[in-house]
Amino acid sequence: MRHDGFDALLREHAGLLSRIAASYEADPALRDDLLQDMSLALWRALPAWRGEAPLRAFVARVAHNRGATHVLGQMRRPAGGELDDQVPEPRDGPEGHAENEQRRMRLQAAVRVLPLALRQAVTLAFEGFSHAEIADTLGVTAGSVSVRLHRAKAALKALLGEQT
Amino acid sequence: MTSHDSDWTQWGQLWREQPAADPSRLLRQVARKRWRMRAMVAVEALGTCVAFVQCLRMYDIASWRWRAWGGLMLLFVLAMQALYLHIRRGTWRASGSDVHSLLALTLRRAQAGIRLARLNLWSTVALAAFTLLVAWPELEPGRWEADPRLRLTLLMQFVVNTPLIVALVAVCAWYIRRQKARIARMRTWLASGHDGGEMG
Repeated sequence: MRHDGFDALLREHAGLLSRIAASYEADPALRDDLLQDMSLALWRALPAWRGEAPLRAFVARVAHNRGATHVLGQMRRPAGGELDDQVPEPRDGPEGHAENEQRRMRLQAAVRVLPLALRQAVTLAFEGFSHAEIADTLGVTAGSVSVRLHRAKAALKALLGEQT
Repeated sequence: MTSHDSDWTQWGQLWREQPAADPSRLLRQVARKRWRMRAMVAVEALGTCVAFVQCLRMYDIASWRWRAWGGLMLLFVLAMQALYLHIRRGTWRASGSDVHSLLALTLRRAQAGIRLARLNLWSTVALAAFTLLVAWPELEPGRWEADPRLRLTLLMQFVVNTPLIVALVAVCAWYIRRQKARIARMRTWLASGHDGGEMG
């Protein structure tokens, strides 16, 4: 499992890891570093996985832990409350693909603005994790997950408004 | 389906459509980092071996004072290693594998890091003071003024060790300040049960 297994695991979950990294870091170069750190953390943690939780949940847990420590390690407090001005507004017109890309970027930026606790819950929910799985991954109760997701929905609604 | 659920489904779909990193490139980067980590451990081990051999060499080439200093340095290295292990108790493994437990572990590690930095700081000061005390006879102007070789040795020691000590003190002070700020943020977040606190 150590090398071939890890390579296969990384190939299978590269998308999940990329998205979790994107929820913690806006700068592409720093995000790339964070993604590598998450992968390394996963490589170190993998021998501890005993199959008690689904592998996907285990990967998400390790990645979120690394992401959270990345945020806590930052000296400056990331700007909150408003979306980055550089994120383009979606445009009307036939360029459906470009518009979709812009909407995705706005969603990414909005998720990054959320407080850490809400951000973790919401990214896991977007990945299709159940409330119970999110609770298990974050070490909180299912009730707390519901509260977080409710707050996150309201916050995302406010941040994205009619653009969704 | 309510508009709220519809938003949620739409967001989830949009989120999952994000482009993923190239797994092959990621694997190469991770492999490089793993080798760098191994190289770092090898360099640290080599450094310890060199320091150990240098202490042993003291027995062949130096006076009884410096032989005693070398012996005490060996004990000092062992004592420091024991203290490092003592301080790091409870920082090896989290009580659980959820994010909350792992962050609590990160908090304990940051606290242990501060204790280690303080230990390094004060042990360096104590080591420098003790070494100066042992070197006192060689530091008398009458000795080094008459002996060009001793003068060169003392000058080299001063030129090499002074910046190292100043750098170590500066790095430890910076590290302690950084970890304290980090601990304050983590405590706020953990105390709030990380239930929608304001941590970015």
